[in-house]
Amino acid sequence: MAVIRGLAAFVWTDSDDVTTERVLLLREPVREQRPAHAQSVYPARSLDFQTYQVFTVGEGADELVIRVRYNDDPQGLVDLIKAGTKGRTITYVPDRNDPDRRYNCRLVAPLSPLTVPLDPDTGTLFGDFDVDLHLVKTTPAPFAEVWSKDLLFAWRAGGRLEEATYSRADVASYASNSGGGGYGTLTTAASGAARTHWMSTASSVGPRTFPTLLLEEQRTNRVLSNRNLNTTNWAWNGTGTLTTGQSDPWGGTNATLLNDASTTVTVERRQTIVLTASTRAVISVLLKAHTTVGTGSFRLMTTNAATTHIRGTITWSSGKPTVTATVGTLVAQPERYRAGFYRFGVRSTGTLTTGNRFLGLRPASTAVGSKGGLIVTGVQAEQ
Amino acid sequence: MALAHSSVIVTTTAVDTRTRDQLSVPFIARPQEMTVYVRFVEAGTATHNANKGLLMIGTNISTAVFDINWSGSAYRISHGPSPFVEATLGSAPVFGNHVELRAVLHGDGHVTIGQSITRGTETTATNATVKPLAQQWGASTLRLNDRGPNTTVGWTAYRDVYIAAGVKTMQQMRVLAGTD
Repeated sequence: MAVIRGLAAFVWTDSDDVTTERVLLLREPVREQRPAHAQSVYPARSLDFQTYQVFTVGEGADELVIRVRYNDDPQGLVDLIKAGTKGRTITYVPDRNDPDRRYNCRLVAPLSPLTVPLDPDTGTLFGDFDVDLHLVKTTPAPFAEVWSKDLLFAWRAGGRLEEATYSRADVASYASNSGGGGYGTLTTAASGAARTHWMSTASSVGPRTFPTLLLEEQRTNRVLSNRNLNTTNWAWNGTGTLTTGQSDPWGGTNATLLNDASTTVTVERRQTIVLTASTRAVISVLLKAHTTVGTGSFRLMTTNAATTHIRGTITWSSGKPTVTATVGTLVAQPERYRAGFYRFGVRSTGTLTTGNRFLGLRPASTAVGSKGGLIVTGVQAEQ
Repeated sequence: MALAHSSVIVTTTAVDTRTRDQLSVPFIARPQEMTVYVRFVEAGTATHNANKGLLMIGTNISTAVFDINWSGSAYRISHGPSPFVEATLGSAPVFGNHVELRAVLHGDGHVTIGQSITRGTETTATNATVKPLAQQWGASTLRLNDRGPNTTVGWTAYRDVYIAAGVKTMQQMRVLAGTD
């Protein structure tokens, strides 16, 4: 890594001084920097220590403690402290080669009266001085990126975004890792809340072990009643059975069991959706195996069933699905969620025209003698 | 155009729309030789055949920017404004891939982009065209997932964003970010 020596400085303006600006050049790079925080906090515990309560005043202030060592300008150092004592703005410039990166501060400590201490290593030999400066920004906020001369920006998912400007005009879903073994509980984020979305390793079927910040473009789901399939938005083709109130990956009971117990007809639960753009489409769904599993499928087709745009076939092994796109392209292998659900999507190969389409869900295969059930929720059609 | 499914949108009696996420943070460092490291899970941007944003320093492509974006076929680095100095990778991730991108702005304004998919060997692309660095970025802002307000928005699950002064290798950035 690049090493920068002697390029940090403090600058300030003091009306009691005849110069336009005072500058204290730091002989050594500021390496000993520590974050601090100050706040009025009033904690209390009950006599049996079972209850804890705390009263805080505001958010407090983020501070920076800088140790200035080997200083050979004692009067400059004292003048800085004098200016800070008077409430002048002290500007810390970590690197004079990057002058726009600067921090306007107030000096919290030390204040006059004081005696500047000698540096413990070079003080008695060379007369150098050593002092901890305790600073707070004039506009209270953390000291972003002073910590390393080479580091200009650092952020990790789950980290602070309070200085960010963020917007999303409505609610949105994400996977938390709490509950359900950490496989992903679908959760709703409020409008204006950035989503910390948990994900698993490349295999996509393990517990969700790392956070991400999920940022997406706008999308519309064209399926109505996409969790409760027992509404007039859906209809049977053939006669199957349907049971609502199934456990779902939200930790609730908004999934629907579709069951084909017939050995004489093929059953399909259908909805007429409206495509409004001449683009490709993606169908996605959350599925869970029923106790009696068959080779299920879902498809998007014209309302006369003459043309199928998307067909995904699902086979099950020990509760885990394998999805094959027999028409269209599989987006990715299934992603596991809470309560044994898996989510996957299949997109159309070509561009579709606008207008009505059937979206169909089959619990068992097209063979009339085939039986089986699927637990379904979160059906989604996007363009 | 939907080429990958997005997060679940719950509906009842009507279709429902999830509006876009928009995020920017202050970025106060001046234009300089630097390395940008972004680690993310591909959530749909790379399935599209049109420009989409991933990370931008600046505010829009009409002003001084350093911009990692999806070209329509691969991830690309763009140093603007026009005439852009750009370098485009030769391969692309697929939906669900774990991706690390390293984008370098050299001191003379030429650019390099590197990509590692699922911790594989890094592949790189360079454009050696020189372009003087602007004195300031178009705005002291770092944007994620677009190339300006309400334009060219992608789908990305971000894990880490680290920016260091100087030219750094992928391994050096991994050490800095704590991802090695």
